Amino acid sequence: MTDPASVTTDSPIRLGNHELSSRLIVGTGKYRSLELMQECLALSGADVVTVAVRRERLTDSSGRNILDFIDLSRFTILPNTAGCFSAEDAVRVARLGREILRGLENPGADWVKLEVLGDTRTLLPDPVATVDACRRLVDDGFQVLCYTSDDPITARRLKEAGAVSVMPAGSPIGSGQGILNRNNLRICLEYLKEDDPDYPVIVDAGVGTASDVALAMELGCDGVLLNTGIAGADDPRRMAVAMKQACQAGRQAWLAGRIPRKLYATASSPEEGVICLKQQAGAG
Amino acid sequence: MPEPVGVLLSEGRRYSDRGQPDLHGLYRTAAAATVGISVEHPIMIQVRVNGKVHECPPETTVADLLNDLQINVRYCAVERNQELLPREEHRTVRLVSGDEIEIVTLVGGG
Repeated sequence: MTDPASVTTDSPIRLGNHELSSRLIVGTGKYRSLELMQECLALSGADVVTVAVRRERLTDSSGRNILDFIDLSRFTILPNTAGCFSAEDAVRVARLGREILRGLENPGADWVKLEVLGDTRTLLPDPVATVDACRRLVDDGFQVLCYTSDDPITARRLKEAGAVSVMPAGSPIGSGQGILNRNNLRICLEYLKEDDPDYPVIVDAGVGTASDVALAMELGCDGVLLNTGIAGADDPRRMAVAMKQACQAGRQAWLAGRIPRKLYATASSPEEGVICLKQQAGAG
Repeated sequence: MPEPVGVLLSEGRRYSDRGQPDLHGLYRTAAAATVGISVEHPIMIQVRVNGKVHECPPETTVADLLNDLQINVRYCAVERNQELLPREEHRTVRLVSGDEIEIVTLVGGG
């Protein structure tokens, strides 16, 4: 018997100077409790977890900080600039996140998930401000993983601006609509990986369920970043496992190389030796 | 040395002294003795911390402020007037009236 592990070998995903074995990156927001979050992070198998930077709540001294629930020796933290609506604010937030992670000696101190939003209703990225912020952060020594829409031209601009990974949204953040425009995503992949096949492209946002993750991976994306899909599920623990498995399944399917889509059927059983007397007319 | 005292500040937060003869503590003691007496020499300075007005004695360092607010310094980063203030400078940088301080930490997010 062939050992499944021997046929499913895969190279790690490389994001800047980080090498990860899991291609799933998970967020830490919206969990009903920090304990539940902690369990789901572990069940997802992720190596990287993303967190936001926010004001200390000076009035509430419950003393519980999310960092007490994340194993800093196991996970690389990816600070994000979620909630920023200008390049200036995104740069400030990125620097603050770096400062905290430097103090914690977490390897995540040298990178950031850049997110510059255009409006609160759609939470769609502001492409002009995102490119601007990306340039500034790269100049400041950051490895930038850049959230963007699925627009191929913007994606190309961000790569030119120095992003170590471009992360197109499948659909709006937290919408659970999955991958709305797989053709755009395919063009993004084609443009970004042209002459640079290892350039990492990660679907970030919109993932609702396991098949969305599998589809992203089957299209040739290098990874998926998601949060609400797990945190908002009825049973987040089970969904964390489902997302992990979908990511692995989709990746394996991509590496295996799917069959082309055809309009008409192709019999799986031999056409020779059929004992039926009646021959179907019009068969090819 | 005067006995360390707690000073009730305007926003209602009681500063608990650590009983150490530091300059910061002395100022607080002085403040307690003087509040309501001198208007020509205001003892406290006003800064903004995370968008809210905050009063503290002159010469307060950023490290003093974090300590007074009981911030877990391991998990925080500080900005002063929209510029990052590196951890190494918290002990040396003193607040100036009108400073805008942001103290942030990491929270759940995606």
